[in-house]
Amino acid sequence: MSRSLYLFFRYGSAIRHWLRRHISRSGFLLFITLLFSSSLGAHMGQNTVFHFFTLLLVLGFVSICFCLYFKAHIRVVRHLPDFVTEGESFRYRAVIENQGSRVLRNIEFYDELDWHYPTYSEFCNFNKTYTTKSRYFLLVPRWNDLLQKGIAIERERQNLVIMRPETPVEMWQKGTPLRRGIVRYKSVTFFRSDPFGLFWSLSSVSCVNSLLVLPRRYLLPPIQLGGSRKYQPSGVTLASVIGDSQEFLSMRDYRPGDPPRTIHWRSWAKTGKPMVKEFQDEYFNRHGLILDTFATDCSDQCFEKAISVAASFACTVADRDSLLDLLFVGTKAYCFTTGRSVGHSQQLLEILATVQPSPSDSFDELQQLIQQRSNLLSSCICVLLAWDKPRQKMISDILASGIPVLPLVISENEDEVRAQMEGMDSPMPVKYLHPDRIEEGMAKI
Amino acid sequence: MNTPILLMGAALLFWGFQVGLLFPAIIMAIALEGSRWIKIRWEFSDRDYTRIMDLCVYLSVAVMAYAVLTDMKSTEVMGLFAWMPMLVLPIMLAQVYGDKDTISFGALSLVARKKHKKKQEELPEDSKKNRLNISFIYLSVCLLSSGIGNNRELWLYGILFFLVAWALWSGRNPAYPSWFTVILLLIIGYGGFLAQIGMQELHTLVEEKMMDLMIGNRGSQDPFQTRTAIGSIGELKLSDEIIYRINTERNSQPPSYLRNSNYNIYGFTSETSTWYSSPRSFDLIKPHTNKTSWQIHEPIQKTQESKIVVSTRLDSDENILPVPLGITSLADLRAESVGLSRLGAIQLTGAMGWIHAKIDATSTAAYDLQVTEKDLLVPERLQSMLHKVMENNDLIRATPEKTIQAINGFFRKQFSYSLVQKEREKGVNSLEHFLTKTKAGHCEFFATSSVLLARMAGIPARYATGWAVSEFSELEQCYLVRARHAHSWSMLFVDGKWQLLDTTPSNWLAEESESSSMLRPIKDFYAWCMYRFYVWRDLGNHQIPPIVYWIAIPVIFVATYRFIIKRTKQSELPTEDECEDKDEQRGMDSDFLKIEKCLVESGYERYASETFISWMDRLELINDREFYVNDMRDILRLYYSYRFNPECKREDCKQQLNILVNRWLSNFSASSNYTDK
Repeated sequence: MSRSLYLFFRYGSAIRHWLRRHISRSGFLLFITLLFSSSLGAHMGQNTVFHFFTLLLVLGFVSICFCLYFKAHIRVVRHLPDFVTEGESFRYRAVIENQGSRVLRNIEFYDELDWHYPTYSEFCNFNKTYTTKSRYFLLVPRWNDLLQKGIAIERERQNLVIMRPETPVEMWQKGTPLRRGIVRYKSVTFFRSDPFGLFWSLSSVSCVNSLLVLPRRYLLPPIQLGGSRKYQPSGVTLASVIGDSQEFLSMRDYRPGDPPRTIHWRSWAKTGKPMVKEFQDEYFNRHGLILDTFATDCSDQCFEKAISVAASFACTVADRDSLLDLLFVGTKAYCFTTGRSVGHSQQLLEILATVQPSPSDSFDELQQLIQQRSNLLSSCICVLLAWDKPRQKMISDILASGIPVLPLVISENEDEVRAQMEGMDSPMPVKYLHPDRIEEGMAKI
Repeated sequence: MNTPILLMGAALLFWGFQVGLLFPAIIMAIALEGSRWIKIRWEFSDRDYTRIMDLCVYLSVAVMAYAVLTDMKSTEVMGLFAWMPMLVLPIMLAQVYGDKDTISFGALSLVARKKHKKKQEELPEDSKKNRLNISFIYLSVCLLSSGIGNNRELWLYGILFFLVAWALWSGRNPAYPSWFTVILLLIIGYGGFLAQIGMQELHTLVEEKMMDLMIGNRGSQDPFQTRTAIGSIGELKLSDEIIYRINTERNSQPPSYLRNSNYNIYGFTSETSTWYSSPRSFDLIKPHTNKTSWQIHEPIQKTQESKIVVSTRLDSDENILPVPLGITSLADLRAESVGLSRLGAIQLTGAMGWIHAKIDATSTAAYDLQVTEKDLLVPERLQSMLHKVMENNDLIRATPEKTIQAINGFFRKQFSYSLVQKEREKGVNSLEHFLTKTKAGHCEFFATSSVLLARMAGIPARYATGWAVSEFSELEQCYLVRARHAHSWSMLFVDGKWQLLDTTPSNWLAEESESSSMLRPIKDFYAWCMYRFYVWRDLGNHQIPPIVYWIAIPVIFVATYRFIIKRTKQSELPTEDECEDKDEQRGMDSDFLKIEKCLVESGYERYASETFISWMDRLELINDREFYVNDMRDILRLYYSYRFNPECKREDCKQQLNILVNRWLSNFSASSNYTDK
């Protein structure tokens, strides 16, 4: 991919963006009519199309003159929700105050996000993960997809009929998040049109806010994860007492650090040394949710679907009697635990909202992380992006350590994955999910 | 947004009045404006809009095809734009009488259609972003087409301004007061009026400049005046465009030169150099009775004749036909009249489009007007310089023949061919600069100098322009004359006849061809294809009556449209018969039916109302025979998958089915009871 081609797209998009912001549909019609009338009207001796051409030319000139300068003295305060979910529309309140001395009429309001054009490396990398069919021929849709991907929240212009000086106006703005992550609102742009509605003049007001967009989630069927409860050496001492934690197990000698409420006074009286009651609260279910972030060979869409599937499990699996460990490799290996009042699934969603593909190609880090925690886990759900040898080995290792596992493979290359599944030496309970039919696939689990 | 009430109707009436289609315009205006009162609406899907838009495109293509087939002039083709409001009326009617007041982008263009298709998967169908109200676009088309009418009265501009102002008023920004908008509109109207006057003046100025630039680019076509590039600085460039095709009869040699005209008066300034013809008139030649043949000169007895056919495209009503020097007659030429100038130029009047003129010529010298005193004129300012050149180079000889040889030798030995003219000193005449300093130039330098030097020696001489015929095309099997083959030479009157003298170095053609484009073969091929098409079309005009075109175009159009509708329907709703046939085909070629056949032959028939599964259930209850029912059930499952599962890989499935059926058949036949039965 040559840099000049990238620059062509980059500046081509910038020009298109500028034109779309400054010229209305009527303005575009004016330009197209000017174009046709200039070519038809060139034969000035044979027709009078040039009458129409000159009239439109003067009209365009006058309209543009009205759009050369516009400065809005406006203050905007946004009241955004704490978080929203990808794909689900939300509304928020904005308070707008005209701090100038003149009444502003028929102004349009538009939220600007902190956004940048795709970089050269993003363009190249996106190229790698694009579908084979269009890899070489369809650069324009590829660039458009990248631009589309950059739009975090779909929003529309809102019309403000009148804004009197020093009189705050409250308005509701609607938005639809198109991708997860932290979205930063940068400013608000006000649009004012010329007297004939052909061109727009723009004025921006700084107004910085941020909004967390949680990943999209799917409805899951009830899932029975196998496995038995396991001894948790550190206990969950900070967890509230729930379930069978009050189950009496035995008596033992007092050890420094034991809470005084566990002292069995009668036994102390009988034996003459402090005895404490031991409970079974250190045995419970602990599920692992393993997320594959090694997205070197998969598309961006696949990775996002994998995050959504993990988010769906994070909301569904974590109950009050068990723990859920989210394991993945970002810039380093991470493990986050929720359940039994240790955390809340919302926190997992917030973490998943910001997960990015791992910069490393090495799958070993994830395997090491799982091995470290294998003696604690009762069962595992693995959300994988491919079904190659390293991943197969990881799943067989987990199975070998006696932990039931539910591997889910999300990939666009269905044939390749199915061939790999059929070619396995020993059968494994792996499930394939097509990125376009996730809910259908999940319902079959 | 819709146009204001009655605006569209007014615009249509204005258009109809301008282009002389007032009656259709009234009907169209009633049809469109009537939609505001008629409440009936049709439910159109996006696909319907797409089809209607396609219809508009087909109509436009048909009109363009008509223009090509009937070989319309460029002015007439432009006149077709006047029909545009009629051609796009169907889509406008579909919008106003449709249940939606907008049309999807997908219907309007192929590019948008693809984009729209992709976006529709992500966006809700009723998204306004992907839809457009075309009322104002249609209004623009009406106003644009009205200009084709070429009525230049001032009040018509007033109406045009009023319609535009009306349209603008409907979409004005209410933030500005009405009186302000009105004043602004009046300013725009007046500004537009002033601008069009300025535009006309600018156009006249540019046209004059362009005419100056274009002279000489395709060789001179003015029989009475030719401005040369003598005096110009820089490189002379001519294109590879094929201007003439020359076919020769068997054993007939093509002429080396085709002449446009002779010129006998030379005029020059420090920057320009021009040759003029005198007298400036044509004598009309009487055609033969067939009206397509003309006798130009009576041929001299006992001279060898050459017969050629010159094919070219004529773009204007009056054209100069380049002909061999010894032309005697013209034939197969559809022209209103043929004129012959005293200096040998042939003018065709009323011969538009492609011509394929048969020309007979003798190999003798030209039949031009006898010598006049103008053939000896040399501008006074050049005489001393030319005299000096002649003396220095010993060009004045005893006889005219020897003088001519000396002049020819002078140029051959001392001069070279060049398309580039460098800057010269101020005050130095370009011809003097050529003869004394650079000694390099293009054909016009050589021809002009030869004529003037010959005249200085007392030999009557004329300057001639035309074309060199040298390139034979293997592809077209004829001689090609390109724009860069434009040439000039001198005609000298010696021994009582006009003879040709070309003093330009013989390598000029090779030098010209070096500057030709790399894409020349492709361009030539394209030109040949177009030429063949026009030849075919012109022949067709002789044989096929025009009515055939009028019938063929609608038939092709209807057939195409029906095909599209049929194809769309096929893709939407396959008929039951088709489905059955397809499924039957899929089932009949399966080996599973061998099992059924085998069992039927063994006496275990399947009842007419019995499904395969219930048949197998029944067979399972029969104890006297092993039917391998479990195997049969597996085979049946695979067979159903083969027949009904669209995701099934047919070949693999068929192969597996074949293996299982053969295994079952061998097991069944191996059982002893089978042989008994």
